Amino acid sequence: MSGKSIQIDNRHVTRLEGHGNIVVQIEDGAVKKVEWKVTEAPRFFEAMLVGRDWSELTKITSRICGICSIGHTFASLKATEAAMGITITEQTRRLREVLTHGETLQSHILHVCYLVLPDLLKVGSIVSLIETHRDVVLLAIKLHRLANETCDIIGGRTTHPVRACVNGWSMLPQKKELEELKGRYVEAVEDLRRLAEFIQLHCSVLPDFERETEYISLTDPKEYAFYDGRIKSSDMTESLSAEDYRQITNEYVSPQSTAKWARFNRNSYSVGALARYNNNHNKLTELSKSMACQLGLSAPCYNPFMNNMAQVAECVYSVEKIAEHIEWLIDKEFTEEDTRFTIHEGHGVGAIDVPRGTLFHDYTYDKNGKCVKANLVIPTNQNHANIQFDMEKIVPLFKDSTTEELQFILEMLVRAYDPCISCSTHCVHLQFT
Amino acid sequence: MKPKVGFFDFACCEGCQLQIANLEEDIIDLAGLVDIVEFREILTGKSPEYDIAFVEGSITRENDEERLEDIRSRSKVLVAFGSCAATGGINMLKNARGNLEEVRRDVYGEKWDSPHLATYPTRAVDEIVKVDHYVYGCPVNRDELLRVVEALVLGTKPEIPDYPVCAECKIKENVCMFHIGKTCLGPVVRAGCGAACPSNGVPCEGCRGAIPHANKNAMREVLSEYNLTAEEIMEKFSLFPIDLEGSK
Amino acid sequence: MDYLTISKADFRDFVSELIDGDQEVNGVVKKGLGFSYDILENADDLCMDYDETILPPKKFFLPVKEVLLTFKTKDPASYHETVETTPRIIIGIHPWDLAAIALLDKAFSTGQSDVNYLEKRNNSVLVGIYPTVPYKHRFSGSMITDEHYQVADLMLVEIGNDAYAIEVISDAGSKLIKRSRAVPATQETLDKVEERKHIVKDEIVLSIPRVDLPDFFRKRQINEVINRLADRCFSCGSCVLVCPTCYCFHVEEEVDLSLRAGRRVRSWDGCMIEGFALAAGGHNFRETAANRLRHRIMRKIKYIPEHFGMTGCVGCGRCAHACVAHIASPAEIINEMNRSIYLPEVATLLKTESMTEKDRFFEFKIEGRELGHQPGQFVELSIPGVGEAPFSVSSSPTKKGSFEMLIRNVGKVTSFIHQLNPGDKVGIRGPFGTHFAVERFKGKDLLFIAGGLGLAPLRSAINFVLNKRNDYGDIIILSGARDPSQRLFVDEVERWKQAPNTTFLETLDKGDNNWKGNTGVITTLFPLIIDRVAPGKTKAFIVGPPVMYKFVIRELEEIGFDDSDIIVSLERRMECGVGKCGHCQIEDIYVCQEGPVFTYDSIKDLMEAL
Repeated sequence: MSGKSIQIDNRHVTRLEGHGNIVVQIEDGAVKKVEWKVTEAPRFFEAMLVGRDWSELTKITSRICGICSIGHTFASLKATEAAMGITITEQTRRLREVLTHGETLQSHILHVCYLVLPDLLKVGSIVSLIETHRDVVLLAIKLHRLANETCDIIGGRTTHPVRACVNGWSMLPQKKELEELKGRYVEAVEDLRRLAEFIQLHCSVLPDFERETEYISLTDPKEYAFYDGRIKSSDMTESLSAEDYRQITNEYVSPQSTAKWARFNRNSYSVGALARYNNNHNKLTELSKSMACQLGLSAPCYNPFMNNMAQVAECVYSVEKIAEHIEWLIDKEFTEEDTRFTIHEGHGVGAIDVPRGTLFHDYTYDKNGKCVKANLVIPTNQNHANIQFDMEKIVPLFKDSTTEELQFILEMLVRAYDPCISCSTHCVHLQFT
Repeated sequence: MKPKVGFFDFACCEGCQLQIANLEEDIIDLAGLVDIVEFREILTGKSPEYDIAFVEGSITRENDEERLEDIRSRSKVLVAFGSCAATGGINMLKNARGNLEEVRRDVYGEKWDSPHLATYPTRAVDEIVKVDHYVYGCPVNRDELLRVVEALVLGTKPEIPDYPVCAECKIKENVCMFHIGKTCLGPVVRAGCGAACPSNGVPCEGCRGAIPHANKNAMREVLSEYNLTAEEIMEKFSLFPIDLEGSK
Repeated sequence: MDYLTISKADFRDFVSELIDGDQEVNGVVKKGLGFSYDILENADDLCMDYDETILPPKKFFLPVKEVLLTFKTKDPASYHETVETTPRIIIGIHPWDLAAIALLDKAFSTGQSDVNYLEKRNNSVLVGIYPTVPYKHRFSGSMITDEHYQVADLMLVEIGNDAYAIEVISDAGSKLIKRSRAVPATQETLDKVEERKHIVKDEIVLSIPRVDLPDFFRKRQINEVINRLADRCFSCGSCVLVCPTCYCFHVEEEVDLSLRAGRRVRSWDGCMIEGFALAAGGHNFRETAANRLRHRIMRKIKYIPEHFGMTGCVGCGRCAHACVAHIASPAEIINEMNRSIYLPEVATLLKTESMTEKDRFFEFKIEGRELGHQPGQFVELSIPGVGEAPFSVSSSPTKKGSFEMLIRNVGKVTSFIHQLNPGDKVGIRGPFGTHFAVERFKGKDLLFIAGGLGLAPLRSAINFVLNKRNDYGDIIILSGARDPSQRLFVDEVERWKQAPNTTFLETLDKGDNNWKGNTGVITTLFPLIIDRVAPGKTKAFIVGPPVMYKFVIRELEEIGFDDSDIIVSLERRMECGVGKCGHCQIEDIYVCQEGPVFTYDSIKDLMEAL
């Protein structure tokens, strides 16, 4: 009996941040090989940090990723602040929250509209959509611009934010800038609603696929966690302190990948918007909750393709939170930040949920404030194993499709995770168990 | 016929390519000006040849060289896009550790020498192939990037400043970093970023590299007059590659 | 002269009312730790008591960046002029900034009028104020006189009692101040005004009257002060960008992404930036920082006054504040140049060693600064109680931290110098005289011909050139000494030989049993190099005993050298070093001023020269 033969060796999947390959071999209807290979050049950031001064670590780690440079900046600052026993002011905290949500908005819009939407509409890129769906493209750009300009104004620069520093902020925003932003966020909610409607109408290509897995994210008793929180697993009732991250991340080298894999209670786990939604959905605002519902989400959701929808719901949440923090900042009598602190030896962990999932920076300093050891655990890293196992489950379901169809499904699967592969290839200290 | 443009990346954070997406509405005009035939990050497509190739990222392993040489052979003009490509950027910190084996063991442990984890000392793009133009910055400045694209499409030479960041600080009427007790590398670093960091209260760290005839003796003297030790001065110059001998 | 008085409280209300009106009101406000002119939203933001703004008020009339024209590239290709003319009120301008505006007014209206500047200027009402706060870099008292502030429409003077006296200078000013509660000034106020105008004194005073500056600079355009300071220059342009009397600009095109339309834009530029005088084709007409600094100072103190009849520097001190290397203040440069010509500075001997029986090598350091010399110059070295004598400097200025000389024991002063030990102090004046100017000969081949002790000053030029080897072509060094015991810098010569495309040939008048090299006078080396020397692209430098020159020059002329390509250094009895004592004269020229380095064609007709 002869079945289909499919050979996919897709050097460098497109519409992805970073370099990854999908390898599939089906001979005569039998699945021989399914591999998710990460081929990004490792950059060895953890080694680069050793010996550098506390004032430099954040500037270096921000450059791990261009899209989540804000996330890396804050994980880094929090790790240093934890090591030095520093508590930031509420003013700084709120400024960081605005940037965190700004990054979430910018990243999710980029991902859903620029990288995934072409799949939903079966075209090669957003550039082709300029002709056919100009209004939608302009809507996405408008939201993307708003997020970036917010981060430019508050952070000094949206990519590698200059103003964020240890124990404070180098330059506070002007009130009139904040007033101007406030007005734009009112419109943003409506814009998001229209965008979500469009996406809803065009998501039929997303397969109805499920694979139950463990979901990890930060969690907070009061709000849907991003900037801060304890670590939550969908398989456990108790949350863990961020400092205990190693218990969860358990990274190991895989022969097919320059990025390491991770596992906790099962053989893989997932982080990112879907994980956050599954763990914390009841902490969403009314509006974002109803948006999630409208988009077909209901917890628990085991369809990795629905990560895209969870991202759209989170956009609404971020927009609302930014508006709230901007209101607070407008009313606040700003005080100049005194960023001084005493340098001493110490160890600290900074945990943050960036658009793609939980990120950990772990620094150890000597008494002169020089880094002696660093460990970085990147969200996408934590997803690679999950991608592999998802692929192993989904390929047999589509083994009778054409090569093109199967490749399309697999690329959509990888894209749904919104991987940030450049980040994920230089993280991590090997854990010897 | 619109020029065919491709964007490629090696070891980098993709922050410079992100600035293309951050052009927002201008992307539409950009798409009208050039034919973006390859840009792995946002589109599925390839081309046998390009009029202009933008390369982001440093070269850190042998198989990168092959891919880069292939891109060079298919491009009329090649632009080193961003500091990682132009000068090695932050990736050069890996070289500073000296012992590369130690670095690899540090990160990957026992499996450090597996073939897929190969690495060699970071190199800028022009250490492997000829580069026609450089766009500096970490990340690149969006206005500068547009001017470069416009110049290349018109067939003229893009104008990148050869003068220091100080000029841009003065034009923006910034309070000088040295006057608020901080030390700044602005006097020897290439302008073009609009003094991005000093304008936000943080001294220049030299992500764009040195100007062609930087006065390195004066910089060392001035920094020690502002009470930096020789060691501290060396450390300041070691974050980003700043070639004070003036070759880049 | 119409004077009014107004209380500060009433003045504040007046400003508030102006702000509420329909005109743009600008004034001095705080900016971080500095001050700046900005649009006023609230009268309380206005600072009338400030030391200095970062940028001068010229930014209102000659904006940092300004669109001159818009254009279309096709359908049809065309240009359209744009002139921005927002009416403005500007409050808080100091007298020197007003003097600068008066200069710019003249510059932009002389010859063909610059409408872009003049429209904005004519639409502005200027409210000035005499300074109430000192500023450590300011020396305006030495540079401006009282007449130029009258470009202001109103001029305020603080008269104590929380009030200002206001001089109403123009109709526009009169009209404006009518909207306030100002009242005519009393005689008591008028009596105080002149004194209150000058109540704040400058900390820096120029040691030369402003009118004498052009003459002072006439023969000293490039001097050791300029050289030394320019050594530290970053060419960052800060000094010229913050200067109220600078108005140079750069014009360039900006095009839209459609490539169909765009703008021609002018933005501030400055002569201190390296590329300012760079022409297409790659030649830079002011390539060194020293040349750029010279030009800047000359323009401020000579060219502008001669051209416009007004001072080119108003003494605000912004450049001194902006310069991170602390080299920019014209006052400091002038005062430094004008320090006493006869007073030596103290230098310390760092190292000394014998080179031949009579020649000793010395390394000195002047405390706190570099000597700032050029290769070929000389200094006057003093030993108190013994005397003073001239010596050429043997080290290259690229060697920092000390300078070197080779001194032969021939007389009273030199025999004493030979007894000095490291740590001993001497007096140094200078450097004096002209220099070899090798930096002008980039790309050329260089031929150095040293007779005996002549190698000492040539060593300065040789090491200077080897420091930037790639800037020059082939180098040939010919050296002649009497006998093996008279050979100089033996080890260093070996290093010179290692440099790329560098040849060193020596000859001795008389060898010994071990000598394997050439013997004979220095001209005997010429046949060895004749095939390698291209007269048209080579510069020859000769220093040696007087008798040597004629013969060497004859050889060079026979090879085909032009007299303008032969450069000599002449020794004479130098005493004062500043062209006054008379001993070094050759006919009508002073060797210490117009030499000791000369091109041969400039002295070949002087009877006494060679």
